[in-house]
Amino acid sequence: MNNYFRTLSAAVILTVVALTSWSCYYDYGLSVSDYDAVITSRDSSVTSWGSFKTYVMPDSVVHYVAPGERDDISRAYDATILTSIASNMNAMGYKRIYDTTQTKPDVIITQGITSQDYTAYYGGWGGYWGWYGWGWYGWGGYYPPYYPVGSYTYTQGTLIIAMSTVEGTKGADEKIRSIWLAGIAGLVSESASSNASRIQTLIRQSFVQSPYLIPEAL
Amino acid sequence: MRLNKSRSSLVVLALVLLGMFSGGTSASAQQRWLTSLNWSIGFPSGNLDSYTPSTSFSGFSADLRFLQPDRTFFGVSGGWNYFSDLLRYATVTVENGAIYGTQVRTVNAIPLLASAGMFFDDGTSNMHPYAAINVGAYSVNQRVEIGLVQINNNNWHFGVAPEVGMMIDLERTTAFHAQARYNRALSSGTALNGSSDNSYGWWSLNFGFTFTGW
Repeated sequence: MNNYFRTLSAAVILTVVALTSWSCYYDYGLSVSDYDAVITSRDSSVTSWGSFKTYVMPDSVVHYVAPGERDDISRAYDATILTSIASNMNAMGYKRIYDTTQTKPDVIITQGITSQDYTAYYGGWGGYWGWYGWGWYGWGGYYPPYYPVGSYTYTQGTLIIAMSTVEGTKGADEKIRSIWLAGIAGLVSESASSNASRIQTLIRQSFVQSPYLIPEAL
Repeated sequence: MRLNKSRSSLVVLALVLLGMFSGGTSASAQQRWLTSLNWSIGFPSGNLDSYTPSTSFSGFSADLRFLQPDRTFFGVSGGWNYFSDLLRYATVTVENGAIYGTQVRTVNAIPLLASAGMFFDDGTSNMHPYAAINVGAYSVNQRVEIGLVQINNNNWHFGVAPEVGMMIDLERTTAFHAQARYNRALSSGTALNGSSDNSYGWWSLNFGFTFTGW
């Protein structure tokens, strides 16, 4: 009877521990947009934030592709990117310069995108054990699948927006200096409208979290 | 579900648990082994409360203690507490910049402690209150996931954990066990946010059973 009671007690507590503790990576039910991220950084040596009031921006988005590789990046969102950046700059109070031969802009805005495909494997040992990927994912390393059951692929897109100033006289002394960078990354979903909406939201966020860019009132 | 753990600390913990179930040598009536298995509820405090404020219901503790005739005991204690929180669409200001995104924050803490304490009763009643002090090491993994990026911070910490508890006899060799403990892992290394104060503190309420005479 004593052994039975002791065994039952141990079984009860181990069951409770197993049910609560072994589910140790909470599944928060994240959606595609939960994997979006915006990182902004500014040059700490710049002291004239607020004095920049005019900008020039090319009417194209650069695609960052490794040398020798084909550019497979879609241009479906180029117009959305250009329009969104310009509208946010204008909303902050910047004036866009189109003819730089007449007026020298205070800053230059450039934008470029890249994308990366990833393959993830998931293995099973009585269920969903875990999944691993290679390439640049968190750990940045490759982990072989353990009893792989299936795989899926996903594409991550990254948009880089740079604000630069031109210093020195035109010619050999001219230097372009990046004073602000925004990196926007997220999963490319199957919905074009969703991707476009998220691009607009994230571009706006990059300016929202950079209030020092706002020109000082005249 | 996926279990992320410090492999070396779990190996040590497994050896402690193995010792609990293999050390069944006989002892005198006044001396005996006390083996406790408990479910642990964690309440963050201090830095941990700032990072993952939610109460943790994922954890366990295990004690192996040798009771002396004078009602004092000594032994080892181990366990695991898992803290996690979700911050949706949060902006974190860093030096000369900011990071925006949904953050999944987790802390895995594994204590490996030596313990000593005493019971306040004479052993004749069915209820046995006690107090103990635990000293040893904590293996702590602090992790944040923003977007598709995961950043880990692993450190070993020296720590202390005072505790009070109560054992209530259910039958001759089994008792219900309730335990309150404050875990304090002292600062070691650097926190994820770059702070030099990388200490952790949390209260834990542990409920389980104590078995004697294994």
